[in-house]
Amino acid sequence: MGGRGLKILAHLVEQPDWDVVGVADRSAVAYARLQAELYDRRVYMVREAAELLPLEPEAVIVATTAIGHLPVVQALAGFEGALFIEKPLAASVAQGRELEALLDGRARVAVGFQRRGSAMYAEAVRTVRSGELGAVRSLRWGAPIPSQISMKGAHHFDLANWLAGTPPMVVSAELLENPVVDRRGAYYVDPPGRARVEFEGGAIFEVDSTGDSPTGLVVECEHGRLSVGPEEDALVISGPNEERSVASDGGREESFDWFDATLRALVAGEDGPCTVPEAAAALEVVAGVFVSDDRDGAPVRLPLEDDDAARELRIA
Amino acid sequence: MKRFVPTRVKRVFFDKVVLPAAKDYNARRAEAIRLRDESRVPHWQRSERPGPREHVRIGVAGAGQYAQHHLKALASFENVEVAALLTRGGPSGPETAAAFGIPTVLTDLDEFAALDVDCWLVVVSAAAVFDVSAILLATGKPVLLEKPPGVSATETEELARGADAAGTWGMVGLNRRHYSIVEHGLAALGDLGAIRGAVVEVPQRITSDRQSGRLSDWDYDHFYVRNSIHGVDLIRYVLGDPVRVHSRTWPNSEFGNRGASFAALLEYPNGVFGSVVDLWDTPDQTRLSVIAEAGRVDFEPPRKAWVGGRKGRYAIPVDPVDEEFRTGVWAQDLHFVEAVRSGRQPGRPAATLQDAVGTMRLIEAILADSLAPKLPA
Repeated sequence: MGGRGLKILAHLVEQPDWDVVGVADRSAVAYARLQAELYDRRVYMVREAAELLPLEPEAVIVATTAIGHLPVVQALAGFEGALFIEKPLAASVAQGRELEALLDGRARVAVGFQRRGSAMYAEAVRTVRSGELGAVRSLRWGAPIPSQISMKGAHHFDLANWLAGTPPMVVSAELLENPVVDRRGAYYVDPPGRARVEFEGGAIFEVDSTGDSPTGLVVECEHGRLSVGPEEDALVISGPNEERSVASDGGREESFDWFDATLRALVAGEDGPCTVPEAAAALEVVAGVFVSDDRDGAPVRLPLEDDDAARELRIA
Repeated sequence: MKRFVPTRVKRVFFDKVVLPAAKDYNARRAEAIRLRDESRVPHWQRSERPGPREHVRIGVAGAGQYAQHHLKALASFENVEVAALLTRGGPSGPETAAAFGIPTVLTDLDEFAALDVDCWLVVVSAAAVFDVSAILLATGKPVLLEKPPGVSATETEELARGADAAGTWGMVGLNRRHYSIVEHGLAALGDLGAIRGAVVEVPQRITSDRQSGRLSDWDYDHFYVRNSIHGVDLIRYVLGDPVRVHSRTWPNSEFGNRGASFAALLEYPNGVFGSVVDLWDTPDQTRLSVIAEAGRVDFEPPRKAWVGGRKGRYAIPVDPVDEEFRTGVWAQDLHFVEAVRSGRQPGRPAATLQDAVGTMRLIEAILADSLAPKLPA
């Protein structure tokens, strides 16, 4: 339960339709932070994820740092309720593949690429799939401020995978020399940078997380374009005959509308909007970015070779 | 022309005007600093859980000095009744019972264990904790037992197994975990990035303590387990279980542990290190420093701690319950009572018996002197 986990928890305890039965975290710091926020709630906290199972939860949210996702899911063996795993799926592609194998065929699991729970982005995908704008030619995303390419960029690698509708094949990237170290230090911080992803269908996705080109998301199609500004407050669809906009149905990370929609769907028995294989595909791209950067921006083919897949990313 | 002022007038002026003004200024300045620090360090005020409180009857084993701290805390909780006191028959038993309104005083452990209570508190001498706790756990009722939970990890494991077999649980009185400065300081660390390491210093004044005769020989023979357990548990609570322990010890056992030294390096994944240093017969102040990427927290239990980062160093506020009651005991005992009410083993920060096994193992790893030069075969 890091920063994100605490935000999720603070949100859930305020919701009348959720009852938080327990939290698991080995960290004494996590416990203390929880008390600082929610002392009067007396949220029951145990050390190990497996200790949650006797509490018979309907849903478990895995919001550790990425390196903890695999062991936590392993510790929850036998749990058949709704399982929500925060993104990124794992700290390495190898771990991600192991998780994928572990959860193969399991129902009611989702990964927290929460934009997949957004009706606005779903409408963008529906529009692309309907063919009214023709084939996707290119996608680009420019971060409004210098951002970690793994943490912030990962959402957009996943969105691009979703919108392109075909598997990512090649990635090339160059990161800045130094990370933007925030108030918490540099341990989990990777630098901003620029990346390019080629999809099987020929579409190209260009990412710029340096903050130099704050465009938001733009999808260029054969007969039109889609765009979502940096604030993500609306989707604009510019077709051959008309331009229409779709207002956002939620905010960004600070809003839990998309998260709630995902969790509700899972508990209701549906599969999540972002599946484990989809999250694994996004992780391949993120890892490919770092491999390419190590090789001075040389293109890297996906899926990654085993040696590259084993590389551990320092991502939270 | 220089004006003559008699020395006595000067002194009166200083005492009546300058000194009070200086004191007032210093008090206002200290209060301003305290308020500034409070506004920058996360903290919260401890209180009983909101809502209805089910009646809880406790049997307390022990009426010594430390038991008074527990009884004072228990007496402050709503709907908690100390139903009986087990003593060794000395005068402190009836005196304590009268002071806290405890209706029954017993000296027979079997009779005590047969009482109809909801849970037990064991505050007997350290040498007796294991035996008394084992018998009370066998009743199937939860037990809060003072440290040490036996003298070895094996004994603690035995208690944990006994609790499991009886369908109950035990919580060990490692009350540093419940210190408000520890909880507030750790909460502050949450904003300071990844923890890179920690250092704990646990000096013990064994020689003067031994000379005072306040404890039994047993206590002095097991002084590390009895006393250093707090410091060792605290670093383990913060950093977790190390993957390796490297240690060097100089217990000086033949001479009553005078000036004994123990040093251990604890190794964790991702380049995190911890260090435990016990230099006995040095000034008695336990210190724990936890170093994170963007700052650090320095604890001087029981009531002093500071958090330092890029923006300065601030004192960590102490909760009023840690001023009014023995530090950490009020919050610890409340945690126990609320767990009894909930009908399940307490969550964090409690040191359950299973958890305490880890601390006992760490103590044994430190005392194993792993870096001692190997004698030639």
